[in-house]
Amino acid sequence: MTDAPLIEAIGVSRFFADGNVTALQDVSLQIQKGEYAALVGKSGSGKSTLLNLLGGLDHPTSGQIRFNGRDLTEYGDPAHFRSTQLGFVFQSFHLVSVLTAEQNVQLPMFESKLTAAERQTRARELLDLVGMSHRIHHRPQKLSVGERQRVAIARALANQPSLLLADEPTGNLDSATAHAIFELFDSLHASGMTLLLVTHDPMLANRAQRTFTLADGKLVSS
Amino acid sequence: MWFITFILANLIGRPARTLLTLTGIAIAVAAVVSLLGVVRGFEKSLLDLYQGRGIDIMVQQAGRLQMTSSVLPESLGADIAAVDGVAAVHPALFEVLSLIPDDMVGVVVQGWPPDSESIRRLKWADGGPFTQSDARQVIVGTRLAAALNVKVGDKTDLLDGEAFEVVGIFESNNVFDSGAMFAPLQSLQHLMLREDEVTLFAVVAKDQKLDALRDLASRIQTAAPKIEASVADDVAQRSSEIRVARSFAWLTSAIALMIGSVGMLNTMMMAVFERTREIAMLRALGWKRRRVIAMILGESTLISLVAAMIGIVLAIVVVQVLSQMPAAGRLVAGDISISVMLQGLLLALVLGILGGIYPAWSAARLAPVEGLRHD
Repeated sequence: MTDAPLIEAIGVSRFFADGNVTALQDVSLQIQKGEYAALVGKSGSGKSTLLNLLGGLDHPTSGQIRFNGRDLTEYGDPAHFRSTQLGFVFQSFHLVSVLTAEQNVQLPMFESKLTAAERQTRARELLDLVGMSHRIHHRPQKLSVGERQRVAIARALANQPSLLLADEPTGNLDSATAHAIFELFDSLHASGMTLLLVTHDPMLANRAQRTFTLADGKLVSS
Repeated sequence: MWFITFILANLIGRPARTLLTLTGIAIAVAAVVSLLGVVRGFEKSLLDLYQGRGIDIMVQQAGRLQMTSSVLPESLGADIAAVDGVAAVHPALFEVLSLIPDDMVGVVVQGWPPDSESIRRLKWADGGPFTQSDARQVIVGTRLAAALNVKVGDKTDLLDGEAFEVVGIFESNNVFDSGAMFAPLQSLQHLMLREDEVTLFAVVAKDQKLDALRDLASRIQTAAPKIEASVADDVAQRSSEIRVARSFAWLTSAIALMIGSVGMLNTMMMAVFERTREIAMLRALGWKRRRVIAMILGESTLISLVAAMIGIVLAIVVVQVLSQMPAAGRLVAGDISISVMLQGLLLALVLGILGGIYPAWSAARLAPVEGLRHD
């Protein structure tokens, strides 16, 4: 018996505005555990919509999202699913401005059973992993954009997710800073992490093992 | 980081909004605590007033809402004294006079016989009691002496051209006593053209247990027509002034609660609106709805509790300052009881929860995808 894909979309469609806008139509894809995949396509092609569906942030109009062979709806509270299985990285980082880097990384851990001391230790380890151990007490405003994205990646790894989802993670970065983030993703993949990145950046997409291309809500290549 | 650290950081990180909300709630709590404190002090003073003077039962004209409007014949005292269980009866005439310019409340001038318990139990700051029932002399409490600016040996007019000599100034922690004036019964009756009339009889009982006092009061009531005999403790509880003040205090508290809740609701709704993306991000990271609710309610409750503490301190200061003012000091006791402070704290807690519950609910209902798109 072969292992089930870590995550798969089966005939997924998503319509908006009472069915008048088709964001995704009959999309099916599979991502295996430990795989590094990129989702590419023009603006409005449905990349972010698909990422939101795979991340349990939205529900498909039809079709199924399965994680480890089970329909997402079987996981109960989607928040619990996201907390235990997924890490999210956003284009705009979404760090909390009133917290330090270390405190930002601890935010997802409030839903875990870790104690305050354990949360702090883990946050420091993760910041060390992304090369930010020297900036743990800095607030986002005092960090460069590249440093902010590193903190956001550390935060996404807080609860040891099975899958890291990133929506345009280098979209706001200059090429040098983006390159450093590519390398960080490479090293995460090398350590066994499964990654799915939505990107416009061909350099980032080329580093992935597999690339899925969307056009007008349909999967045109994989 | 503790969860409370995040809540605190959210409040401290937005100082202007937090301070404005704190100020609003603190003022509401201060208003409620000072009002309730003044009313409770008023009640306590009234209770202490009778107990301090050794009065067990008060007899006044039946059907009078305000004690000072009661009129009884002085000769009734003998009938009351004849009731079994009565140890002593002291007649008293109460008149409200305007002794202080622009004073809206007036001064209660009490006429008592020189040998009554009310006079014998006073503690003297200066001078001493009047000794003759027809002497044109008065004794005054320290607060009233300050308000009238008189000392022993000075003369003060009770009515136009009717000067009485101040022979004694007494000390009392009781706000009613220290703001009062006592005159010999006979001279006050003469001055007010009310010969042989009194306002009430103060009865001292042989048995001072509450049940025995209530039994004695009902027997006194049957001794003469159209009189009302009440145990002193019950008089304080039934006082129309106290009831009005209590209602006023609770009405004001209700208004403060309403305004405070709306203020808190506004602040927390703004906080949720401004932080839509942050809340959506937290939900995307796996925060459950109940944790979002705990965060918003935690913020509103924490603001309220800190505001309550500031409000209580403010109320203590306000009441202290009022009690030191010559005019208001005759009505306001300077202390606020722990139970009133706890009521202020409870009020703030209710404000925090009421004002935070809807914003917390709307934050928890926020769809992460919608929130992350919010500008």
